[in-house]
Amino acid sequence: MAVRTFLYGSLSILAILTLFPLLWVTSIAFMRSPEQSAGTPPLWPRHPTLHNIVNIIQREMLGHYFLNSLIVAVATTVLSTFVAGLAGYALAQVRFRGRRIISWIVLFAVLIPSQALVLPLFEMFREVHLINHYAALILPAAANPVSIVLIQAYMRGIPAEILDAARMDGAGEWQTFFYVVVPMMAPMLAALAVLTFVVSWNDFMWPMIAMQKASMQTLPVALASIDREHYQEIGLMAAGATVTILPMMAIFVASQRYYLRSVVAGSLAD
Amino acid sequence: MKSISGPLFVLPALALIALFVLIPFLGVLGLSMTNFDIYVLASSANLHFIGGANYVHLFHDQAAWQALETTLTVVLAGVPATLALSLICALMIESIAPRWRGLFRTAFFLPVVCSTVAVAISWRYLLNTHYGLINHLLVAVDLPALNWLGSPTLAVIAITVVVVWKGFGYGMIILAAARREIPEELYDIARIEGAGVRQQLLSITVPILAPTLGLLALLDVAGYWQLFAEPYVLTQGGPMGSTMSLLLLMYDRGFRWWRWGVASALAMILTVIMWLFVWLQRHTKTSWREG
Repeated sequence: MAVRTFLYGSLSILAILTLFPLLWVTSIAFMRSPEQSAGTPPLWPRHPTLHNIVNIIQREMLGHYFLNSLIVAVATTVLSTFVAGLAGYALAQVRFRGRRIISWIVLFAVLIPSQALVLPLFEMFREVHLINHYAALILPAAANPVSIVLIQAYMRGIPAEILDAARMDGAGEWQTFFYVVVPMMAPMLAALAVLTFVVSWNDFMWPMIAMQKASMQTLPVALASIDREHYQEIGLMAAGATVTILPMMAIFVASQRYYLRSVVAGSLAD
Repeated sequence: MKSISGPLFVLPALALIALFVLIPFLGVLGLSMTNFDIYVLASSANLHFIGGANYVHLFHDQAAWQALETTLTVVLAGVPATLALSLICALMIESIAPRWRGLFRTAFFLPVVCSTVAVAISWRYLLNTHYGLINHLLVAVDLPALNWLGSPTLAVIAITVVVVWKGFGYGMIILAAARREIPEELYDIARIEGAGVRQQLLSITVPILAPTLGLLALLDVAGYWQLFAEPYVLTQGGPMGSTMSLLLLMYDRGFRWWRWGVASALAMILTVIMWLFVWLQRHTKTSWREG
C-alpha cells in the first residue's frame, strides 16, 4: 500500500512540475495587465480576459504567421512522407542495381546535423531567388533521411510473397505501391506524418535565416522577433507562446497513438 | 523482381538528399577552407583558398573554446539527467495500473511537442529575478533570490534544466515500451529466488534496457549538441558569452558578422565532434556485448 501511495504520489508531483510551465503561461495569457505586472503573477487569472490573445492576433498579426506555419508544415509533411514512403519501400522490397550504395548514402545523410548546413543552404537559395519563399523551408525539410530509414526498416518486416502475389496478378509497380504497399504501411506513414508536422511547426533556426521578410515568417520565428521588441509585455508574450504551443498539444493528444508509435519505431529501427 | 521502378522510386528522395544535405555538406567543408566574408560577398574576386587557417583562428579564439565548453557542459550534465529522469518515470509508469498510464505519459511527453521558442518564453517568467515564480518560492522559504539568467554559472544551469525538462519525455516513452518487452517471468523467478526490488532493478531491468539507454544517450547527445533556440531566447548567449552554444556562435559569426569561413569551420567542428560521440557509443556498445 505504501509503495502504491509513493508511486502515484511521486508521479503526480512530477507530472504537475512538468506541466506547470505550460499551464502557467497559458494562465498568464488570460490575465489583465495589473495582475501580470504587480510582482509575481498569480497562478490563476482573477478576471479572465481575451485582451492579450486579441492583441497578439490583431496588433502583431499572429494569424498571418500561423497561416505561414500551417502552409509550410502541411506541404513539408505531404512531400516528405510521400518521397520517403516511395524510397523506403523501394530500398526494402524492390531489387535494383545500386540499392546498397543508396542505402549507405541515406545512412550517411542521417549522420549530418542539418543545422550545420544553413550557410551553404542560404547561399543556394539566394542564388535561385527562393529566399523568402515557402519552398526554402519545404524542400530542405522534405529531404528526410531518418524517415526513409524508418520506413525501410518497417517494410523489411513485410514478407516479399505478399508483394510478389500482387505483382503476379499483373499489377504494375505503381499500382502495387498505391494499392498494396501504401495501405500496408499506413500506420507507419501516419505516425511519421504527425512527427514531421510537429518538427516542421517547431523548427526555428533555418526558418529564421531563410525568411528575412517579416511577412513570410513562421510562428516560432515571428514569436522570437516580437519577443525581442515586447519582452516586457508579459501578457502579450504569454499569449503568443500559448497560441504557438496549443495546436501542437491538441494534435499530440488527438494523435498520440500514431505519434508515440513513430517515436518508439524510431528508436527500435537501430 | 527487377524493373526500372526501383531507381525511379528512389530518385526523388535521392535528389532531395543530394541537393539539401550532401551538396551543402561539401559546401560547408569547402567554405571552411576559404576566407569567405563580407568582402567576398561584395565581390567574389576576393575569394581565396586558405587551407586550415580558419581552424587555426578558432583554436586561438577564446569565444570558440567557451562555446565548446558550454555546449559540452549542457550535454554532459543534461544527458545523464535526462536519461535518469526518463528511466525513473518510465519504470514508475509501468508499475501503476494500466488505465492511469496514458495520463502520465501524456503529461511527461507534452513538453517534447512544444515549440522551443514558446517554452523558453514561458521559462523566462519562471526564472525572472524580480517577478519569477522560482525566486518567489525561494524568498518565501527565506532563501536569497537568485539572478538565474544574469549569472554565468546559473544561466548554464537554467538552460540545462530547460533542455532536460523539454527532452526527458521522449526517452520515457521509449523506455516504457522497452520495459513492456521484458517478460514478467524473469521477475517472477527473481522473486522466488528472493531478490528484492533493488536487486531486480540492477540485475534484470537495467541490463536489459542498457542497449536502449545507449541509443537514447546518442539521440540526446545529438539533440543537445545542437543547442540553439533556448539560449537564443533566454540569454542571447550572455551573460558574458557564458551560454553561447556552438551553433549560436556559428549563427553569430555567419549571419551577424558574415564571416562564413570561420562559421563553416565551426559547423565542421560541431559535425566531427558529433561523429566522435556516435563512434564512442558504437564502441561501448560492442564492448558491452563482448564483455
